[in-house]
Amino acid sequence: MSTAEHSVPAIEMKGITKIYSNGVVANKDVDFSVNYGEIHAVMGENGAGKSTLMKMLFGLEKMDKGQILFEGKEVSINSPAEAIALKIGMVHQEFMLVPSLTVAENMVLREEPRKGIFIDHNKAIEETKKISEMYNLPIDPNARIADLAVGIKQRVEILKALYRGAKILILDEPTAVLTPQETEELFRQLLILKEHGHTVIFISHKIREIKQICDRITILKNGRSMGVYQVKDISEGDISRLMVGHEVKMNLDKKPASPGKTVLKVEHLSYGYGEGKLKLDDVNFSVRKGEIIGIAGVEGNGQRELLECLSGLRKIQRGKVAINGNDVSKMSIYDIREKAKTAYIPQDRLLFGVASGATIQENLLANRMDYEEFSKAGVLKEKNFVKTAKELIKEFTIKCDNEKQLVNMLSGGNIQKVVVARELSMPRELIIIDQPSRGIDIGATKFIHQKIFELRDAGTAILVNSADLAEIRELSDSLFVMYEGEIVAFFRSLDGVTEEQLGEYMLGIKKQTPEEIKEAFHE
Amino acid sequence: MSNKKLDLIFSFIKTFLAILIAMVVALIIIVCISDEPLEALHSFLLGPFSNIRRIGNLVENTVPLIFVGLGVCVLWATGKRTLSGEGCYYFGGLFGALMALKFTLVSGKALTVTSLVAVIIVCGLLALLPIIVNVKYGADDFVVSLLFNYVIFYVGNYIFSNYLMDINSSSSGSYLLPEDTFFPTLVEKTKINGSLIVALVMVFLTWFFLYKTKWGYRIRLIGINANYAKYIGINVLGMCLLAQFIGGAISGLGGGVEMFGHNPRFAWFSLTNMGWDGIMVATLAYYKPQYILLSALFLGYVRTGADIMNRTSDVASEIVLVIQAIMILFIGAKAFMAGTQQKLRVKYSTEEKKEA
Amino acid sequence: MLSSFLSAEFFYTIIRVSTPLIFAAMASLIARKGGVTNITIDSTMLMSALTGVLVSAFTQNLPLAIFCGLVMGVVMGIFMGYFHIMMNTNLILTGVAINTFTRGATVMILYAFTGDKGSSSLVKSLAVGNWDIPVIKDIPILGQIISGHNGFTYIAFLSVIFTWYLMYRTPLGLRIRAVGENSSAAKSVGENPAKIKLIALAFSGFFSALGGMYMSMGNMSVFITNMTGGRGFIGVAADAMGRGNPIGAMLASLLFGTANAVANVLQINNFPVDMVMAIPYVVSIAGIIIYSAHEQHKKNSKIKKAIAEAERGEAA
Repeated sequence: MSTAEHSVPAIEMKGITKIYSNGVVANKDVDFSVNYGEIHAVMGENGAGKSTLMKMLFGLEKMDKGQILFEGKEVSINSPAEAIALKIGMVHQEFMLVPSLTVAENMVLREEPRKGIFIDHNKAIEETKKISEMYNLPIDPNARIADLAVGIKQRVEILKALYRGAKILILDEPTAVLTPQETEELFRQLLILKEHGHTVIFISHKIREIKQICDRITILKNGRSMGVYQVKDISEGDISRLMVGHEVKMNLDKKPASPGKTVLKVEHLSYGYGEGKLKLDDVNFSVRKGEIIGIAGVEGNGQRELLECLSGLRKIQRGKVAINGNDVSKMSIYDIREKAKTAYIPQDRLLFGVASGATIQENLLANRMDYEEFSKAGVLKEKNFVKTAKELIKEFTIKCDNEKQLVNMLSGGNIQKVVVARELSMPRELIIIDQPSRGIDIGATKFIHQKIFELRDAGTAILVNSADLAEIRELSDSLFVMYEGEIVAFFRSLDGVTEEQLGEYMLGIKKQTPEEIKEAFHE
Repeated sequence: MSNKKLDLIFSFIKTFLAILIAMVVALIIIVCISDEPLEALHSFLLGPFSNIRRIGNLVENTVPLIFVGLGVCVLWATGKRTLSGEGCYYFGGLFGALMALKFTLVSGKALTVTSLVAVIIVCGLLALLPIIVNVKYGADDFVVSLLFNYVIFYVGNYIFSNYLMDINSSSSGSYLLPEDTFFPTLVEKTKINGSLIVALVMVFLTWFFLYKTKWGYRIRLIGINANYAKYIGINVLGMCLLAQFIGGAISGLGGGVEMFGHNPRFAWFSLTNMGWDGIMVATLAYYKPQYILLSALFLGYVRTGADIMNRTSDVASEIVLVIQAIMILFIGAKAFMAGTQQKLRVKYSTEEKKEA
Repeated sequence: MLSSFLSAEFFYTIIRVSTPLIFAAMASLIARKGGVTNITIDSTMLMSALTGVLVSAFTQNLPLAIFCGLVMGVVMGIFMGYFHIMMNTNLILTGVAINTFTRGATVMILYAFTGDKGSSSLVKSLAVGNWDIPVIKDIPILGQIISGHNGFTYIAFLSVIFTWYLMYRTPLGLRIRAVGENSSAAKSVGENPAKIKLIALAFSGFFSALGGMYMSMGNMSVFITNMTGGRGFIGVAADAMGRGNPIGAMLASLLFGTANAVANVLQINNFPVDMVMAIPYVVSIAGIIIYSAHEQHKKNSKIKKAIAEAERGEAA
């Protein structure tokens, strides 16, 4: 089937506006259209409104203004059921699968083949096999979802949409969770779908992937459309400019590190026993005063577990972690923070970083209410609270009405600044930072990076994890790479180390010798 | 208009509408089932103000509601949904009576104070058990605390019937409580007494605890986001226990002061349901101690009216419970009026953008 | 006294007192599979118990009375679902509201129809009788234990089988489980989770109704205010112990029923009434604790074993 057969676009969205109940404007007057047989990218930074726009197309969110045309006719899509009826399918970032059910059961959910009043399980398995062969996407219908690898789960999602007759397939950041090999495999699958005449809407913020596979691109910024372009006609620099407003350049003045004594020592740390596969497998490294150690790796290779073990959120199962000689496994989280003087910026801001239903002031000072300055005999000193909160808001340029505003009224970048302000405004020996700039704007990112360098120069030991290779290279003095719960490479200095080289370690293609890896642990 | 202001205004409108809907439903029920609906309505709505004695009843009904309402404010502040107030209120009353009758080391007002202190400690401890089971073993907080209330009741009833019951008296109940332990009367010809002062002091103390001390602050943070509280180094288990202890103690104190009001005898033969009423009072006050007085007064009024109507007409006083239920449902319903609020939000947001 | 525990009568009593618990446990199970902890089961039991009694008293038509009781149960389930799911009211608040409502409504209705606030003994209501099972009733001991129970008791055991088939063999069961475990997943294939949850709650109300009517139209033929005595909540506890398996929930119900039966025997043997009455609740709480502690221990020892294995492997 060629595009010529359809003179009108498959889908057109006109003047879409969406405002969330917390007052955040997700989309403002956005126009969007796709044709049959094309792979169309929707690009934008985190929080630009990509996912929201697509969720409205799939009936998961209600738009406040605007219209949707399907093959030229106006339609209203109020639920996924109505979207599916229009042959629209969506593969979400978090997989929409029921873990305890089998592949076949997930496939046929709501379209179950029946024998009398009961489900016909054999037919369900047959149908699953049939569709997987038709599109050349192999799958085991009897496998339980919980036991499958990420790439395979995504395949089930795609098949699920195809089983329901989808012609237009929305993929929400499908490569974020995939290894490069899995990504290549996905792209192969998407090209098959394109050949079959299907439309693929590909949400991403990775420029290279889009250049590789997409035909056209719609760019969003701050909830507004920045226009539609032919991918072959637009340069990477132009896309980046349209997305962020200026070239991504982050050349901060960074002095060479002058490391002092060892602060954090991690020896033979393993985690994840009894769960099948170890999340951390014999990890050894150390961090010294006045240096930034970076962790590079594809997400989900144990980084999060590692940092949560260090900060006390997870119980250490095996091995030893010491901060300035204090055994972490013997300390409460409070002691790790207060006695061992550790700060921790978690990757999941809303889950761990803030109490979003509390005020900015309450969030900023939650970690210091025992200090004499802030309480006496348990009674809080309100005046000092307000004063310090005002100072921090100013110092960290948190954009807000006043210190009594609820945190959930702030933008992602400003929420992150609240976390950073709370964690980095007290004298600390060790700072652990997980994804410092995820989902926040360039300005806030720059500010936070600057702060990290300042603290390092003042002699703090810093451990940073980031899935963003550019960021981790920018920040780290030394860096190690994690793959499947192990440290597979350590670089004392990043001079002359290319992204491609790091990539090979991150994907498990290469591994350093044990002697080289041992360098990560500094006696 | 800021979102915060909008939320506040809507909270008030919602509460008002919920009360209105509940009252209208009540009126319809009265009109339907009563043979003399007008008289029933009259005694229901105006009865509580018709003379000084009835105003006294109104206050008398309000005082225990203040305690159990405050209790729920603290019990629920960490996000745990226990019904411990019910068992604690009952046991507070029983233990207060037990102390008044059996504790002989002191007497008079000294006995009152000693008894109430003992009640606070015992009831605080009682409230800890369900939450320990909940936190340690992951059992449902609501169901466990509810089942535990039955245990408290039967143990209490055992003590009552074996040690306190006055079998020689014609009116069934405990032995007569010593009159010199009673709170002083505040208003002549009514039962309004010192327990009202205790209740008002507790309103202030509870507010102060939750909003002005570091423990209250921590407890509230746990309620808003428990993961965050753990991450920031708050001793979540310890604070949950503290909240349950204080909430249980306040509820128990409510039962205790009842015994030193002007009740001649302890005569509770079943659980009192005050724990459930506490949830109602607290919900109506949006779990904020500073609003508890108002919501307890309102419920006390409705309750007094229903009692009078029960006596003077053919409508059962249990209609109060139906009114309560409807109010909780509508105040608790997040979707109730959410559509209107969202429309206004979009409108204001658009207007602001235009101005900017 | 020991002989009372070994008699056929004792085991008969276990089955008798377990009946409402089994119904309540099934009611809880279906709702919880659909992702809702139903804490209105006790209320629903009361409402249906009262409805059945009043309809039978005023129409003298038993099938009609049972039908009306069941309708009341389904209505209560949907009513709860409407506020919890459609109006987005907190689950506990919904439960509190409905329990409060029931406390008031049952008394008001009872008072309006019979002029009494305590029980329905002033009107004559009907009840389902005891059924003998042919052949089995003649087997010694076994016949005494499992034959001659109330009709509702047999329905209770059938409902366990029904629930199992419903959950694991029918499209509806698959959808209920999918909604309960990952409602976004169900939503993404066009399922309406709210609808499925409402259906699950309707079933939950249906079984609650059976449990309630057993109490007022089977075991006894009178409605007494608050006659369930928290059995609906014990059912929720039993379901929690059964971890979502109908058979497990039934066994847990029988365990709690046994506690009840023991209490009955002790009471007859002049143990303090109040202490004896507390036994079923203590056992329910203890049951929950022991079960959860066991689960935790299993998990911990799994981790310990894995660590020990790893250490052995390295030593070798």
